[in-house]
Amino acid sequence: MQSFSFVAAQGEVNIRKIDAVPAGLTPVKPERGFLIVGHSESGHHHGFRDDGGVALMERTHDVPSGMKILYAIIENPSELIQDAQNAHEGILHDPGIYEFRISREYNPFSEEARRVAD
Amino acid sequence: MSVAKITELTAEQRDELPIFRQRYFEHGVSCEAADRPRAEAAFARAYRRLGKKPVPVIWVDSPLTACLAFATLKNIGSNSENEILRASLRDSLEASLRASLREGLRDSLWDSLRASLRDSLRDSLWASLGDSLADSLWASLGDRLGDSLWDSLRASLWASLGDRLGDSLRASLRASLVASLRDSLADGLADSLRASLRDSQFETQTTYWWGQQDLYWVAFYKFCAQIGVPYSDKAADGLDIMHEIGLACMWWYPRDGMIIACERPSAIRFDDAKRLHGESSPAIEFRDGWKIYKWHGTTVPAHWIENRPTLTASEVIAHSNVEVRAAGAQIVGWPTMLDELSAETINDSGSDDVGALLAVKLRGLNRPGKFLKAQCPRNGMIVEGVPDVDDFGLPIETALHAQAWRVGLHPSEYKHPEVRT
Repeated sequence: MQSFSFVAAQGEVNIRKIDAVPAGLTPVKPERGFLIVGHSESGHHHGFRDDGGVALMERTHDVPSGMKILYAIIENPSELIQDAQNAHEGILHDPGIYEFRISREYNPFSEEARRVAD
Repeated sequence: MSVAKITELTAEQRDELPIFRQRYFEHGVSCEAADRPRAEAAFARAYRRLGKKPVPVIWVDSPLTACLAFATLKNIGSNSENEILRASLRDSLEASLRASLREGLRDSLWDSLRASLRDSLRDSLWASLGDSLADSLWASLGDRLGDSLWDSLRASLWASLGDRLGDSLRASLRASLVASLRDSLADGLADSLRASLRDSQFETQTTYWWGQQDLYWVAFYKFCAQIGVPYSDKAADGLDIMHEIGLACMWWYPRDGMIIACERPSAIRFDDAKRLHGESSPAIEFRDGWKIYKWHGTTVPAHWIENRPTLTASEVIAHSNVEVRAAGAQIVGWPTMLDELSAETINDSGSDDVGALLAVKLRGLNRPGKFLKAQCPRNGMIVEGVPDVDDFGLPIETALHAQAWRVGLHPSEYKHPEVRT
Protein backbone atom coordinates (compact mmCIF):
# COMPACT_ATOMS: atom_id res chain seq x y z
CA MET A 1 0.00 0.00 0.00
CA GLN A 2 1.29 3.44 -0.97
CA SER A 3 0.85 6.70 0.89
CA PHE A 4 1.10 10.32 -0.29
CA SER A 5 1.06 13.91 0.90
CA PHE A 6 -0.80 16.02 -1.67
CA VAL A 7 -1.43 14.43 -5.09
CA ALA A 8 -1.72 10.78 -6.16
CA ALA A 9 -3.37 8.68 -8.85
CA GLN A 10 -4.80 5.18 -8.90
CA GLY A 11 -5.40 4.30 -12.54
CA GLU A 12 -7.83 6.87 -13.91
CA VAL A 13 -8.60 8.28 -10.43
CA ASN A 14 -6.64 11.49 -9.75
CA ILE A 15 -6.53 12.38 -6.04
CA ARG A 16 -5.80 15.78 -4.48
CA LYS A 17 -5.76 16.68 -0.79
CA ILE A 18 -7.72 19.93 -0.37
CA ASP A 19 -8.80 22.26 2.46
CA ALA A 20 -12.59 22.32 2.14
CA VAL A 21 -15.42 20.73 0.19
CA PRO A 22 -17.41 22.97 -2.15
CA ALA A 23 -21.13 23.56 -1.61
CA GLY A 24 -23.94 21.76 -3.38
CA LEU A 25 -22.62 18.19 -3.43
CA THR A 26 -24.71 15.03 -3.67
CA PRO A 27 -23.96 12.23 -1.17
CA VAL A 28 -22.89 8.92 -2.70
CA LYS A 29 -24.51 5.83 -1.18
CA PRO A 30 -22.52 2.63 -0.67
CA GLU A 31 -23.15 -0.33 -2.97
CA ARG A 32 -22.79 -3.68 -1.23
CA GLY A 33 -20.54 -2.20 1.41
CA PHE A 34 -18.37 -0.31 -1.05
CA LEU A 35 -18.21 3.44 -1.71
CA ILE A 36 -17.44 3.61 -5.40
CA VAL A 37 -15.19 6.44 -6.51
CA GLY A 38 -14.49 5.18 -10.02
CA HIS A 39 -16.83 2.81 -11.85
CA SER A 40 -15.29 0.20 -14.12
CA GLU A 41 -16.94 -1.45 -17.13
CA SER A 42 -15.44 -4.73 -16.04
CA GLY A 43 -16.79 -4.39 -12.50
CA HIS A 44 -13.37 -3.66 -11.06
CA HIS A 45 -14.35 -0.48 -9.27
CA HIS A 46 -12.11 1.88 -7.33
CA GLY A 47 -13.40 2.83 -3.90
CA PHE A 48 -13.41 2.63 -0.12
CA ARG A 49 -14.92 -0.02 2.13
CA ASP A 50 -17.93 1.54 3.83
CA ASP A 51 -16.80 1.23 7.45
CA GLY A 52 -18.23 4.54 8.59
CA GLY A 53 -15.03 6.54 8.35
CA VAL A 54 -15.55 7.93 4.84
CA ALA A 55 -18.26 10.31 3.58
CA LEU A 56 -18.28 10.43 -0.22
CA MET A 57 -20.00 13.12 -2.31
CA GLU A 58 -20.25 13.92 -6.00
CA ARG A 59 -20.16 17.29 -7.69
CA THR A 60 -22.89 17.52 -10.29
CA HIS A 61 -22.47 21.15 -11.39
CA ASP A 62 -19.64 22.82 -13.32
CA VAL A 63 -18.06 19.48 -14.18
CA PRO A 64 -15.89 19.62 -17.31
CA SER A 65 -17.16 17.57 -20.25
CA GLY A 66 -16.55 13.83 -19.95
CA MET A 67 -15.44 13.95 -16.31
CA LYS A 68 -16.65 12.98 -12.86
CA ILE A 69 -15.53 14.80 -9.72
CA LEU A 70 -16.08 13.49 -6.20
CA TYR A 71 -15.07 14.56 -2.71
CA ALA A 72 -14.49 12.65 0.49
CA ILE A 73 -14.27 13.63 4.12
CA ILE A 74 -12.15 10.94 5.72
CA GLU A 75 -12.15 10.58 9.50
CA ASN A 76 -10.00 7.46 9.90
CA PRO A 77 -7.02 6.29 7.82
CA SER A 78 -8.65 4.59 4.80
CA GLU A 79 -7.34 2.73 1.79
CA LEU A 80 -8.54 3.44 -1.73
CA ILE A 81 -8.62 0.01 -3.34
CA GLN A 82 -9.55 -1.52 -6.64
CA ASP A 83 -11.71 -4.63 -6.61
CA ALA A 84 -9.81 -6.71 -9.16
CA GLN A 85 -7.44 -9.64 -9.56
CA ASN A 86 -4.70 -7.59 -11.15
CA ALA A 87 -5.53 -4.46 -9.18
CA HIS A 88 -3.87 -1.08 -9.03
CA GLU A 89 -2.04 -0.96 -5.70
CA GLY A 90 -4.02 0.50 -2.78
CA ILE A 91 -3.41 4.08 -1.64
CA LEU A 92 -3.67 5.07 2.02
CA HIS A 93 -5.59 8.27 2.80
CA ASP A 94 -4.90 9.98 6.12
CA PRO A 95 -7.83 11.78 7.75
CA GLY A 96 -8.66 14.90 5.77
CA ILE A 97 -10.58 16.20 2.76
CA TYR A 98 -9.91 14.90 -0.72
CA GLU A 99 -10.96 15.59 -4.29
CA PHE A 100 -11.14 12.77 -6.84
CA ARG A 101 -11.09 13.59 -10.53
CA ILE A 102 -11.89 10.67 -12.81
CA SER A 103 -9.81 11.31 -15.88
CA ARG A 104 -11.15 11.64 -19.39
CA GLU A 105 -9.86 11.23 -22.91
CA TYR A 106 -10.75 12.78 -26.24
CA ASN A 107 -12.19 10.84 -29.14
CA PRO A 108 -10.89 12.49 -32.32
CA PHE A 109 -13.50 10.66 -34.41
CA SER A 110 -16.56 11.91 -32.51
CA GLU A 111 -14.72 15.07 -31.35
CA GLU A 112 -15.93 14.70 -27.78
CA ALA A 113 -14.42 13.99 -24.38
CA ARG A 114 -15.40 10.83 -22.55
CA ARG A 115 -14.50 9.26 -19.23
CA VAL A 116 -11.57 6.88 -19.48
CA ALA A 117 -13.09 3.39 -19.62
CA ASP A 118 -11.32 0.38 -18.16
CA MET B 1 -14.36 -26.73 29.92
CA SER B 2 -12.80 -24.35 27.43
CA VAL B 3 -10.36 -25.75 24.89
CA ALA B 4 -7.14 -23.90 24.11
CA LYS B 5 -7.10 -22.13 20.76
CA ILE B 6 -4.73 -23.19 18.01
CA THR B 7 -2.38 -20.25 17.59
CA GLU B 8 0.27 -21.62 15.26
CA LEU B 9 0.83 -24.37 12.73
CA THR B 10 3.13 -27.26 13.39
CA ALA B 11 6.18 -27.58 11.15
CA GLU B 12 4.41 -30.34 9.23
CA GLN B 13 1.32 -28.22 8.72
CA ARG B 14 3.43 -25.28 7.53
CA ASP B 15 5.08 -27.54 4.96
CA GLU B 16 1.71 -28.89 3.89
CA LEU B 17 0.06 -25.47 3.36
CA PRO B 18 1.60 -24.54 -0.05
CA ILE B 19 1.06 -28.10 -1.31
CA PHE B 20 -2.57 -27.96 -0.18
CA ARG B 21 -3.06 -24.56 -1.86
CA GLN B 22 -1.53 -25.78 -5.12
CA ARG B 23 -3.69 -28.90 -5.04
CA TYR B 24 -6.86 -26.83 -4.76
CA PHE B 25 -5.67 -24.37 -7.40
CA GLU B 26 -5.26 -27.34 -9.76
CA HIS B 27 -8.73 -28.62 -8.89
CA GLY B 28 -10.07 -25.10 -9.45
CA VAL B 29 -8.63 -24.90 -12.96
CA SER B 30 -9.02 -28.57 -13.84
CA CYS B 31 -9.95 -29.24 -17.47
CA GLU B 32 -10.82 -32.90 -16.96
CA ALA B 33 -14.30 -34.00 -17.99
CA ALA B 34 -16.78 -33.55 -15.16
CA ASP B 35 -17.15 -36.43 -12.73
CA ARG B 36 -20.90 -36.64 -13.30
CA PRO B 37 -21.79 -39.44 -10.84
CA ARG B 38 -19.87 -37.69 -8.07
CA ALA B 39 -21.53 -34.34 -8.82
CA GLU B 40 -25.01 -35.85 -9.06
CA ALA B 41 -24.57 -37.64 -5.74
CA ALA B 42 -23.62 -34.32 -4.13
CA PHE B 43 -26.53 -32.49 -5.78
CA ALA B 44 -28.87 -35.14 -4.36
CA ARG B 45 -27.44 -34.58 -0.87
CA ALA B 46 -27.95 -30.81 -1.27
CA TYR B 47 -31.61 -31.30 -2.18
CA ARG B 48 -32.17 -33.75 0.65
CA ARG B 49 -30.92 -31.11 3.09
CA LEU B 50 -33.94 -29.09 2.02
CA GLY B 51 -36.24 -32.08 2.41
CA LYS B 52 -36.56 -32.43 -1.35
CA LYS B 53 -36.16 -35.44 -3.57
CA PRO B 54 -33.22 -35.43 -5.99
CA VAL B 55 -34.08 -33.89 -9.35
CA PRO B 56 -32.95 -34.71 -12.92
CA VAL B 57 -29.68 -33.15 -14.09
CA ILE B 58 -29.08 -31.84 -17.60
CA TRP B 59 -25.38 -31.63 -18.37
CA VAL B 60 -24.18 -28.93 -20.75
CA ASP B 61 -20.73 -28.00 -22.00
CA SER B 62 -20.48 -24.44 -20.67
CA PRO B 63 -22.34 -21.66 -18.85
CA LEU B 64 -23.12 -20.17 -22.27
CA THR B 65 -24.89 -23.34 -23.37
CA ALA B 66 -26.61 -23.39 -19.97
CA CYS B 67 -28.02 -19.94 -20.70
CA LEU B 68 -29.12 -21.09 -24.15
CA ALA B 69 -30.77 -24.13 -22.63
CA PHE B 70 -32.78 -21.95 -20.25
CA ALA B 71 -33.70 -19.55 -23.03
CA THR B 72 -34.84 -22.38 -25.24
CA LEU B 73 -36.60 -24.58 -22.72
CA LYS B 74 -38.68 -21.81 -21.26
CA ASN B 75 -40.45 -21.47 -24.60
CA ILE B 76 -41.47 -25.08 -24.76
CA GLY B 77 -44.99 -26.02 -23.85
CA SER B 78 -45.70 -28.82 -21.47
CA ASN B 79 -47.42 -31.13 -23.97
CA SER B 80 -44.65 -31.41 -26.53
CA GLU B 81 -43.96 -34.74 -28.11
CA ASN B 82 -40.32 -35.43 -28.73
CA GLU B 83 -40.35 -34.48 -32.40
CA ILE B 84 -42.25 -31.29 -31.75
CA LEU B 85 -39.95 -30.65 -28.90
CA ARG B 86 -36.86 -31.04 -31.05
CA ALA B 87 -38.30 -28.81 -33.75
CA SER B 88 -39.26 -26.08 -31.35
CA LEU B 89 -35.94 -26.33 -29.61
CA ARG B 90 -34.17 -25.84 -32.90
CA ASP B 91 -36.36 -22.95 -33.98
CA SER B 92 -36.16 -21.23 -30.68
CA LEU B 93 -32.48 -21.74 -30.24
CA GLU B 94 -31.54 -20.73 -33.75
CA ALA B 95 -33.61 -17.56 -33.55
CA SER B 96 -31.92 -16.69 -30.30
CA LEU B 97 -28.50 -17.45 -31.64
CA ARG B 98 -28.90 -15.63 -34.91
CA ALA B 99 -29.32 -12.42 -33.01
CA SER B 100 -26.05 -12.52 -31.21
CA LEU B 101 -23.51 -15.13 -32.18
CA ARG B 102 -21.26 -15.72 -35.12
CA GLU B 103 -22.11 -18.64 -37.37
CA GLY B 104 -19.39 -21.08 -36.34
CA LEU B 105 -20.09 -20.76 -32.65
CA ARG B 106 -23.84 -20.87 -33.27
CA ASP B 107 -23.59 -24.26 -34.97
CA SER B 108 -21.22 -25.54 -32.37
CA LEU B 109 -23.41 -24.50 -29.43
CA TRP B 110 -26.49 -25.89 -31.10
CA ASP B 111 -24.76 -29.26 -31.62
CA SER B 112 -23.66 -29.24 -28.02
CA LEU B 113 -27.08 -28.43 -26.63
CA ARG B 114 -28.79 -30.91 -28.94
CA ALA B 115 -26.45 -33.63 -27.71
CA SER B 116 -27.15 -32.72 -24.08
CA LEU B 117 -30.87 -32.79 -24.60
CA ARG B 118 -30.75 -35.99 -26.64
CA ASP B 119 -29.05 -37.66 -23.68
CA SER B 120 -31.70 -36.29 -21.39
CA LEU B 121 -34.49 -37.51 -23.63
CA ARG B 122 -32.98 -40.96 -23.67
CA ASP B 123 -32.89 -40.86 -19.90
CA SER B 124 -36.60 -40.08 -19.86
CA LEU B 125 -35.92 -36.80 -18.22
CA TRP B 126 -38.93 -35.24 -19.84
CA ALA B 127 -41.28 -37.85 -18.49
CA SER B 128 -40.06 -37.21 -15.00
CA LEU B 129 -40.47 -33.49 -15.43
CA GLY B 130 -44.01 -34.02 -16.58
CA ASP B 131 -46.22 -30.99 -16.99
CA SER B 132 -44.23 -28.81 -14.71
CA LEU B 133 -41.34 -28.17 -17.07
CA ALA B 134 -41.76 -24.45 -17.48
CA ASP B 135 -42.52 -23.82 -13.81
CA SER B 136 -39.72 -25.98 -12.54
CA LEU B 137 -37.22 -24.28 -14.78
CA TRP B 138 -37.88 -20.90 -13.37
CA ALA B 139 -38.53 -21.67 -9.74
CA SER B 140 -35.06 -21.15 -8.42
CA LEU B 141 -34.09 -22.66 -5.12
CA GLY B 142 -31.94 -19.58 -4.58
CA ASP B 143 -32.92 -18.44 -1.08
CA ARG B 144 -33.39 -21.81 0.56
CA LEU B 145 -30.35 -23.48 -0.93
CA GLY B 146 -28.33 -20.30 -0.50
CA ASP B 147 -29.09 -20.25 3.19
CA SER B 148 -28.38 -23.95 3.59
CA LEU B 149 -25.13 -24.14 1.66
CA TRP B 150 -23.91 -20.57 1.62
CA ASP B 151 -24.96 -17.94 4.16
CA SER B 152 -25.71 -19.98 7.25
CA LEU B 153 -23.08 -22.58 6.35
CA ARG B 154 -20.30 -20.02 6.06
CA ALA B 155 -21.51 -18.20 9.17
CA SER B 156 -21.43 -21.47 11.12
CA LEU B 157 -17.99 -22.43 9.81
CA TRP B 158 -16.62 -18.98 10.56
CA ALA B 159 -18.01 -19.08 14.09
CA SER B 160 -16.26 -22.40 14.66
CA LEU B 161 -12.98 -20.86 13.58
CA GLY B 162 -13.49 -18.02 16.07
CA ASP B 163 -13.88 -20.58 18.86
CA ARG B 164 -10.80 -22.62 18.04
CA LEU B 165 -8.33 -20.58 15.97
CA GLY B 166 -6.24 -17.67 17.21
CA ASP B 167 -7.03 -14.38 15.44
CA SER B 168 -3.58 -14.04 13.98
CA LEU B 169 -3.45 -17.59 12.59
CA ARG B 170 -6.96 -17.27 11.19
CA ALA B 171 -6.04 -14.03 9.39
CA SER B 172 -2.83 -15.53 8.09
CA LEU B 173 -4.52 -18.67 6.77
CA ARG B 174 -7.24 -16.58 5.20
CA ALA B 175 -4.63 -14.48 3.41
CA SER B 176 -2.59 -17.42 2.22
CA LEU B 177 -5.48 -19.63 1.13
CA VAL B 178 -8.63 -17.58 0.43
CA ALA B 179 -7.00 -14.47 -0.99
CA SER B 180 -4.59 -16.20 -3.34
CA LEU B 181 -7.07 -18.79 -4.61
CA ARG B 182 -9.82 -16.18 -4.96
CA ASP B 183 -7.53 -14.05 -7.14
CA SER B 184 -7.17 -16.83 -9.68
CA LEU B 185 -10.44 -18.73 -9.36
CA ALA B 186 -13.07 -16.14 -8.53
CA ASP B 187 -11.70 -12.74 -9.53
CA GLY B 188 -9.82 -14.12 -12.52
CA LEU B 189 -11.75 -17.03 -13.94
CA ALA B 190 -15.33 -16.68 -12.73
CA ASP B 191 -15.43 -12.90 -13.28
CA SER B 192 -14.13 -13.37 -16.83
CA LEU B 193 -16.85 -15.88 -17.58
CA ARG B 194 -19.55 -13.62 -16.16
CA ALA B 195 -18.26 -10.66 -18.16
CA SER B 196 -18.18 -12.71 -21.36
CA LEU B 197 -21.71 -13.96 -20.74
CA ARG B 198 -22.85 -10.34 -20.36
CA ASP B 199 -21.05 -9.43 -23.58
CA SER B 200 -22.73 -12.29 -25.47
CA GLN B 201 -25.86 -10.09 -25.62
CA PHE B 202 -27.81 -13.20 -24.79
CA GLU B 203 -30.31 -13.45 -21.96
CA THR B 204 -28.06 -14.76 -19.23
CA GLN B 205 -28.90 -16.79 -16.15
CA THR B 206 -27.12 -15.95 -12.96
CA THR B 207 -25.86 -18.52 -10.55
CA TYR B 208 -23.69 -18.19 -7.51
CA TRP B 209 -22.92 -21.87 -7.51
CA TRP B 210 -19.51 -22.00 -9.12
CA GLY B 211 -18.50 -25.63 -8.51
CA GLN B 212 -14.74 -25.89 -8.95
CA GLN B 213 -14.33 -22.12 -8.57
CA ASP B 214 -16.03 -22.22 -5.17
CA LEU B 215 -13.00 -24.14 -3.95
CA TYR B 216 -11.28 -20.85 -3.03
CA TRP B 217 -13.32 -20.70 0.20
CA VAL B 218 -14.02 -24.42 0.57
CA ALA B 219 -10.26 -25.11 0.67
CA PHE B 220 -9.80 -22.65 3.53
CA TYR B 221 -12.36 -24.35 5.77
CA LYS B 222 -11.09 -27.80 4.77
CA PHE B 223 -7.56 -26.90 5.81
CA CYS B 224 -8.82 -25.55 9.12
CA ALA B 225 -10.61 -28.86 9.72
CA GLN B 226 -7.39 -30.68 8.88
CA ILE B 227 -5.47 -28.79 11.59
CA GLY B 228 -8.07 -29.60 14.22
CA VAL B 229 -10.98 -27.14 14.04
CA PRO B 230 -14.21 -29.08 14.70
CA TYR B 231 -17.42 -28.13 12.91
CA SER B 232 -20.98 -29.09 13.78
CA ASP B 233 -22.23 -32.20 11.97
CA LYS B 234 -24.57 -30.08 9.85
CA ALA B 235 -21.84 -27.59 8.87
CA ALA B 236 -19.35 -30.38 8.13
CA ASP B 237 -21.95 -32.07 5.91
CA GLY B 238 -22.65 -28.83 4.03
CA LEU B 239 -18.95 -28.18 3.55
CA ASP B 240 -18.48 -31.71 2.27
CA ILE B 241 -21.29 -31.27 -0.27
CA MET B 242 -19.68 -28.10 -1.62
CA HIS B 243 -16.30 -29.85 -1.63
CA GLU B 244 -17.65 -32.81 -3.59
CA ILE B 245 -19.29 -30.55 -6.16
CA GLY B 246 -16.09 -28.47 -6.41
CA LEU B 247 -14.07 -31.57 -7.19
CA ALA B 248 -16.57 -32.78 -9.78
CA CYS B 249 -17.80 -30.02 -12.08
CA MET B 250 -18.06 -26.34 -12.85
CA TRP B 251 -21.07 -24.03 -12.51
CA TRP B 252 -24.49 -25.47 -11.67
CA TYR B 253 -27.96 -23.99 -11.77
CA PRO B 254 -30.29 -25.57 -9.20
CA ARG B 255 -34.00 -25.22 -9.88
CA ASP B 256 -37.01 -26.58 -8.12
CA GLY B 257 -37.51 -29.51 -10.51
CA MET B 258 -34.18 -29.84 -12.28
CA ILE B 259 -30.51 -28.87 -12.33
CA ILE B 260 -28.49 -27.68 -15.28
CA ALA B 261 -24.83 -28.44 -14.60
CA CYS B 262 -21.74 -27.49 -16.59
CA GLU B 263 -18.79 -29.51 -17.75
CA ARG B 264 -15.39 -28.09 -16.93
CA PRO B 265 -13.55 -26.02 -19.56
CA SER B 266 -11.38 -27.96 -22.00
CA ALA B 267 -8.44 -25.55 -21.63
CA ILE B 268 -7.40 -22.73 -19.30
CA ARG B 269 -4.16 -20.82 -19.85
CA PHE B 270 -2.34 -18.44 -17.51
CA ASP B 271 0.78 -16.30 -17.62
CA ASP B 272 3.48 -16.53 -14.96
CA ALA B 273 1.50 -14.20 -12.69
CA LYS B 274 -1.51 -16.56 -12.94
CA ARG B 275 -3.45 -14.03 -15.01
CA LEU B 276 -5.53 -15.55 -17.81
CA HIS B 277 -3.47 -15.25 -20.95
CA GLY B 278 -3.16 -16.87 -24.37
CA GLU B 279 -0.42 -15.71 -26.74
CA SER B 280 -1.84 -17.43 -29.79
CA SER B 281 -4.91 -19.29 -28.54
CA PRO B 282 -7.92 -18.65 -26.30
CA ALA B 283 -7.23 -18.31 -22.58
CA ILE B 284 -10.40 -20.29 -21.81
CA GLU B 285 -12.00 -22.89 -24.08
CA PHE B 286 -15.09 -25.00 -23.59
CA ARG B 287 -16.09 -28.20 -25.31
CA ASP B 288 -19.01 -26.49 -27.08
CA GLY B 289 -16.69 -24.05 -28.86
CA TRP B 290 -17.12 -21.06 -26.52
CA LYS B 291 -13.76 -19.33 -26.25
CA ILE B 292 -12.52 -16.34 -24.29
CA TYR B 293 -9.42 -14.44 -25.30
CA LYS B 294 -7.25 -12.71 -22.71
CA TRP B 295 -3.96 -10.86 -22.84
CA HIS B 296 -2.34 -10.87 -19.39
CA GLY B 297 -5.77 -10.76 -17.75
CA THR B 298 -7.43 -8.26 -20.13
CA THR B 299 -10.20 -9.52 -22.41
CA VAL B 300 -9.41 -8.74 -26.05
CA PRO B 301 -11.29 -9.40 -29.30
CA ALA B 302 -10.82 -12.94 -30.64
CA HIS B 303 -9.25 -11.92 -33.93
CA TRP B 304 -6.53 -9.93 -32.12
CA ILE B 305 -5.17 -13.30 -31.01
CA GLU B 306 -6.40 -15.65 -33.74
CA ASN B 307 -5.28 -13.40 -36.61
CA ARG B 308 -2.49 -11.61 -34.83
CA PRO B 309 -0.45 -10.72 -37.96
CA THR B 310 -3.41 -8.81 -39.41
CA LEU B 311 -4.01 -6.66 -36.33
CA THR B 312 -3.31 -3.03 -37.16
CA ALA B 313 -2.25 -0.14 -34.98
CA SER B 314 -5.22 1.86 -36.28
CA GLU B 315 -7.66 -0.75 -34.99
CA VAL B 316 -5.96 -0.88 -31.63
CA ILE B 317 -5.89 2.87 -31.10
CA ALA B 318 -9.54 3.22 -32.14
CA HIS B 319 -10.75 0.81 -29.42
CA SER B 320 -12.89 2.54 -26.80
CA ASN B 321 -11.37 0.85 -23.74
CA VAL B 322 -8.00 2.07 -22.49
CA GLU B 323 -6.98 -1.29 -20.98
CA VAL B 324 -7.86 -3.16 -24.16
CA ARG B 325 -5.91 -0.55 -26.12
CA ALA B 326 -2.89 -1.06 -23.87
CA ALA B 327 -3.14 -4.83 -24.38
CA GLY B 328 -3.50 -4.38 -28.15
CA ALA B 329 -0.44 -2.15 -28.26
CA GLN B 330 1.52 -4.86 -26.47
CA ILE B 331 0.31 -7.46 -28.98
CA VAL B 332 1.32 -5.30 -31.94
CA GLY B 333 4.42 -3.94 -30.20
CA TRP B 334 5.07 -0.25 -29.55
CA PRO B 335 7.74 0.27 -32.25
CA THR B 336 5.31 -1.11 -34.87
CA MET B 337 2.43 0.95 -33.41
CA LEU B 338 4.30 4.24 -33.71
CA ASP B 339 5.78 3.41 -37.09
CA GLU B 340 2.48 2.26 -38.58
CA LEU B 341 0.63 5.31 -37.29
CA SER B 342 3.36 7.64 -38.59
CA ALA B 343 3.41 9.16 -35.13
CA GLU B 344 5.33 12.39 -34.67
CA THR B 345 6.41 13.58 -31.27
CA ILE B 346 5.10 17.08 -30.54
CA ASN B 347 6.58 17.21 -27.04
CA ASP B 348 8.51 14.69 -24.95
CA SER B 349 8.44 15.48 -21.23
CA GLY B 350 11.54 13.36 -20.66
CA SER B 351 9.61 11.32 -18.11
CA ASP B 352 7.73 8.11 -18.98
CA ASP B 353 5.29 8.95 -16.21
CA VAL B 354 4.28 12.35 -17.65
CA GLY B 355 4.81 10.97 -21.15
CA ALA B 356 4.96 12.39 -24.64
CA LEU B 357 2.43 14.25 -26.78
CA LEU B 358 2.11 12.67 -30.23
CA ALA B 359 0.45 13.64 -33.50
CA VAL B 360 -1.00 10.49 -35.09
CA LYS B 361 -2.48 10.07 -38.56
CA LEU B 362 -5.68 8.05 -38.43
CA ARG B 363 -7.68 6.64 -41.28
CA GLY B 364 -10.94 8.61 -41.58
CA LEU B 365 -9.54 11.83 -40.14
CA ASN B 366 -8.32 14.61 -42.38
CA ARG B 367 -5.83 15.88 -39.83
CA PRO B 368 -3.64 14.16 -37.24
CA GLY B 369 -5.14 13.43 -33.83
CA LYS B 370 -3.26 14.32 -30.66
CA PHE B 371 -2.47 11.50 -28.24
CA LEU B 372 -0.79 11.38 -24.86
CA LYS B 373 1.51 8.35 -24.52
CA ALA B 374 2.48 7.64 -20.92
CA GLN B 375 3.45 4.83 -18.59
CA CYS B 376 0.80 3.32 -16.33
CA PRO B 377 2.16 1.27 -13.40
CA ARG B 378 -0.37 -1.49 -14.00
CA ASN B 379 -1.15 -1.48 -17.72
CA GLY B 380 2.24 -0.50 -19.13
CA MET B 381 2.33 2.10 -21.89
CA ILE B 382 -1.08 3.62 -22.61
CA VAL B 383 -2.31 6.15 -25.18
CA GLU B 384 -5.22 8.52 -24.67
CA GLY B 385 -6.64 11.08 -27.08
CA VAL B 386 -6.51 14.80 -26.20
CA PRO B 387 -8.08 17.76 -28.04
CA ASP B 388 -6.16 20.57 -29.75
CA VAL B 389 -7.46 23.15 -27.27
CA ASP B 390 -8.31 22.84 -23.56
CA ASP B 391 -11.41 24.07 -21.64
CA PHE B 392 -9.75 27.46 -21.15
CA GLY B 393 -9.08 28.06 -24.86
CA LEU B 394 -5.36 27.29 -24.56
CA PRO B 395 -3.73 25.12 -27.26
CA ILE B 396 -2.41 21.85 -25.85
CA GLU B 397 1.20 21.59 -26.94
CA THR B 398 2.97 19.70 -24.14
CA ALA B 399 2.52 16.35 -22.44
CA LEU B 400 2.15 18.07 -19.05
CA HIS B 401 -0.62 20.28 -20.44
CA ALA B 402 -2.32 17.15 -21.80
CA GLN B 403 -2.11 15.61 -18.31
CA ALA B 404 -3.81 18.75 -16.89
CA TRP B 405 -6.60 18.48 -19.49
CA ARG B 406 -7.20 14.81 -18.61
CA VAL B 407 -8.31 15.87 -15.12
CA GLY B 408 -9.99 19.15 -16.10
CA LEU B 409 -7.48 21.53 -14.52
CA HIS B 410 -5.84 24.71 -15.80
CA PRO B 411 -2.18 23.92 -16.57
CA SER B 412 -1.06 26.42 -13.93
CA GLU B 413 -3.08 24.56 -11.29
CA TYR B 414 -1.97 21.05 -12.27
CA LYS B 415 0.54 19.13 -10.18
CA HIS B 416 1.60 15.71 -11.40
CA PRO B 417 0.90 12.91 -8.89
CA GLU B 418 3.75 12.13 -6.52
CA VAL B 419 2.44 8.55 -6.29
CA ARG B 420 0.84 6.53 -9.08
CA THR B 421 -0.43 2.98 -8.83
